[in-house]
Amino acid sequence: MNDNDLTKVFDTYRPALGPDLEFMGRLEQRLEAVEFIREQQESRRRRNHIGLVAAAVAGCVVGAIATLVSPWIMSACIGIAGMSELMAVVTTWVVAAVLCVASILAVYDMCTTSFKKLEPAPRNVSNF
Amino acid sequence: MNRTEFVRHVERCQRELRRFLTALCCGDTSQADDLAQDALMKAYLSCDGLQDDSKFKSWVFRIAYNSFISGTRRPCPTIGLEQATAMESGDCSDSAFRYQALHAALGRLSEKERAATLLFYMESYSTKEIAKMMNTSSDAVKQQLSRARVHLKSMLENER
Repeated sequence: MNDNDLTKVFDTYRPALGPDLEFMGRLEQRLEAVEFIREQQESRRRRNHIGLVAAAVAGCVVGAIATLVSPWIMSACIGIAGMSELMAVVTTWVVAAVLCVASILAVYDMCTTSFKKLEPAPRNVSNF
Repeated sequence: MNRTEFVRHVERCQRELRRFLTALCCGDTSQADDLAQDALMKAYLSCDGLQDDSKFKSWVFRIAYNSFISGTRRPCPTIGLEQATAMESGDCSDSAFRYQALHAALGRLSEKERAATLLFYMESYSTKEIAKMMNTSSDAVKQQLSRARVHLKSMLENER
């Protein structure tokens, strides 16, 4: 057997492969699944981004409002609850911080949830 | 490269890829098809990095070869040449039996020798191109080809 014979052996090598259509169909299904995951990741990224921006805006607004009403809270703490001045300052800032954090979390959650509801239903990739 | 372009490229070279992988898997077509699917998925996920579309085929072959090497491979059929030749099929169109001796001979080669041989003889790539695909030197490929040639010749010679 010489080199030409070896070349001939591989030239004539035609194993029985499965149907092309079946192979391509399987590949298309997997590509579809990849596209679906990509779309989901992209929409989640977009949703998180919008949620973060909205939460930051809400945090700023609530923080500003809390700062503006802090003298009133402080005087209420001293007048109504009978706290010392130091205790009243601490309480005021704790209340402001809690309000800010709560509003940030609530707005972020509301944004991500509502945007998720607005998105189109996922395609059927159950065959994957 | 978008999905349509990718599929068009794949349609053009999928048969060659599957044929190459079938030989690489010593005739196991289902393993070859699984490997081809995995390689094509990897290719799709990284196809933005491909600069030159004309090199798509060699690029996919390289990914397929790496997929084969990196652990997805299963042991090749360990059936000997004597057993292989003793097995006869009534259906002469049965390619699994027709190529049994070749598959058994390929199974005796190392993975690198097998891949180099198939890329050289079946796909007509030059040793330089094969070296690039297999991430090795051109001299190493020449050595692998030379060793494989000797082994294949002696093994297939015995079949005649």
